Amino acid sequence: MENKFRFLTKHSLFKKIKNKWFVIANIIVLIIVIGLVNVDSIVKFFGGDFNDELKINVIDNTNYYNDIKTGLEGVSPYLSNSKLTIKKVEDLKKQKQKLKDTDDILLVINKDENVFNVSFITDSYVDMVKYSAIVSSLNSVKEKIALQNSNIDKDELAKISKPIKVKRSYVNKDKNEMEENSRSILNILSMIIVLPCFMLIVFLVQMIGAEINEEKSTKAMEIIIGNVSAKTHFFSKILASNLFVLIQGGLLVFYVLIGLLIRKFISPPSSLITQSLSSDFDLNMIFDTLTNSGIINKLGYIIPLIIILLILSFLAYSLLAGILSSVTTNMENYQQLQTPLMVVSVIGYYLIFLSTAFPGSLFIKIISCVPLISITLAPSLLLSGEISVITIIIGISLVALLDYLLIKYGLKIYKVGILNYSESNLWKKMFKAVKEK
Amino acid sequence: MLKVDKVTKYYGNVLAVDNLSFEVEKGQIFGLLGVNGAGKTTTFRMIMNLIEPTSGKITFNGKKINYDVTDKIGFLTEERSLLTKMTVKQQMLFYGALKSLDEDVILKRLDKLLEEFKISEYKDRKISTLSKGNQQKIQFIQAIINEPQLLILDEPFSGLDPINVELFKKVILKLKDKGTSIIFSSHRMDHVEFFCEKLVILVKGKSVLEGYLKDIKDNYKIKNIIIQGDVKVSDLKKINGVINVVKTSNQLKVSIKDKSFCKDVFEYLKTRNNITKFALEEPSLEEIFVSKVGDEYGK
Repeated sequence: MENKFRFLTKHSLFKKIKNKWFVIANIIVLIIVIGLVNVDSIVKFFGGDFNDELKINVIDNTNYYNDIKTGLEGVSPYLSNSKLTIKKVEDLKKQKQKLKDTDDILLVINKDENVFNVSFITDSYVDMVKYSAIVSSLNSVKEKIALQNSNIDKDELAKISKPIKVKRSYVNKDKNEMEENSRSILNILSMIIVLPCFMLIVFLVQMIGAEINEEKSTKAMEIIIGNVSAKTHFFSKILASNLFVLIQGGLLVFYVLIGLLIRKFISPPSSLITQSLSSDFDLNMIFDTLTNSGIINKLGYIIPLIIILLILSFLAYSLLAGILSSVTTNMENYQQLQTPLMVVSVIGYYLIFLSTAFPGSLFIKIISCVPLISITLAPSLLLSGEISVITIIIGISLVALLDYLLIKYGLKIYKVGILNYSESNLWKKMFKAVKEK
Repeated sequence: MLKVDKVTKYYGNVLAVDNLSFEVEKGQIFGLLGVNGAGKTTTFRMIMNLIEPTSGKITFNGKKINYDVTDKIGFLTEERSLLTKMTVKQQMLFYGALKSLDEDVILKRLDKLLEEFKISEYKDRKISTLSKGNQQKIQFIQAIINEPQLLILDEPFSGLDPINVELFKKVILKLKDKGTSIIFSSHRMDHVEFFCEKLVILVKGKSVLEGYLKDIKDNYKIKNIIIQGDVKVSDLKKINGVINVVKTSNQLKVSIKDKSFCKDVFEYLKTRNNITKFALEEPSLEEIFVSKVGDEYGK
């Protein structure tokens, strides 16, 4: 006969995992994760305006057409369109008629005292990115022509046109520019990673609450606690729920890997559209940047710290959820009581966004050490360099302390709570339980 | 043998069980009676090691109750204690494992018990889909799956039809014959009278009456006389020693202060015609219970 603790843990875990709804939910999550990783290919598959060619027709009354054309060609990287065609045309009236029901742009360039002015004509509204890019390039052309007309020496003109050289340097010898760039990438990545963390906390809190409440409300608890100690029962639930969360977390990572594998096969580099759309989120490029910056080596000690923080925080959430579910008498009451717990877990996520608006904020740094909030906030701040390794170690120590206190005093509450079916004098009973030796 | 020795339990300042002592021998059915809130459930919980007594001691076969001992105890709670989302088989595997039984032993016993209770076809059915009576059968099977040495039955016939009550009675008596000690609690005094050789009645956590049922009845002075025939209730009430007269469909039940007043009633009946029945009966347990509990509440 196997040990009762192991039996209860296995029973709780398998009850959750061997459930058909777990399988269905994971199939749905797998599809969603693969979809998110390959969102650019999906967008391409369904098609849209981005496949159209953007035509810019120019009526030039200035003889600057060649300069203008060169300038407009520079707009291409800022546009999501696959192909940009710039053509010189005549006859304004005829060209205006041609614009009907198209996304084409007609530019009429006229000479004036400020070198030239432009009429920007379209059939309908044009998106602001496109508009700003074209206007900005026309401004550059205008500046260039104005300088040429001012009889400035050719060499001097070349100096003016040449972009400024910026040399980035650091007093701290450990710092480098590649790492600086990588941190912003890691910051974005950590925000993405925090979401599954939040999802896992919800799973954890709800799993424990549902199980304990089911056993309590059906009075099955009387039979269970008659055969195993409350301590064994409590820790079996905690272990099972944490194992479940780790398995579910591992599955999420596995789904991402499947998504990346699929991405490798369905996103050929020759695809202009894919390259264009994925330019902001090219995973290979991100990985190369991180490797070259040397930050990957630093992740060697950052990742274990983050994992320790995650495990201790999950433990704290599960302990709290177990204690809260033991004092409630039904699922409705538990759901109300778990709301503050859920709100606390979201605080960290909001503070990540605030940390970008208030870099170096002492308040946010202090909050990143607070147990239950640190799980979502500290990893992001650590990766973006907002907090140091010392700060996260303080955070880990505080969560560990909370876990200890929850085990020491929470277990006393649990022992009394799980066999209590009355809500009268509830808190009095619980405080009394805590005080008992 | 179960020995409850001077056990007291306080919940805060509330006294739930007051200096309670009793013993249950091997193969004996013991009645633990009392109105709601008398302390029965608290006593069961202490026997099951769910809660600790404030003072006193509970032992089973000389050992303090611990989780090794509770493996040998079966407990049928008054309210349903089934995980209704599980199937019958899953439930038994779960509870059986908590009683330190191996899976093959549980399944073998389950098949036998399901057959005995005539519900073999429900083995793979979810408990929530079963009728109240069948759920009670499952609850009973759960309590005896470990072939307990001590069985606690709290209102075991709840939700059962008369046919199934008889079935349960047979099983309980069979367990008794096998040597299982049984603590039986019910508000149905006829059931208690049927099973229990020995009992204790609790009022506000304190024992107000305890001992062998036969002795309790013998020592209880008030007796009943059953009369069938042409008699007047008003005349009977006037007789010395008559406490009460209750008329049922075709007979009268006359309660007298003690056996000695039987003669006075008999003398009166000699003056009447068509008397077809005259019998002196022991009081029922229900009458003793109502009388004792009522007196204690009155205090």
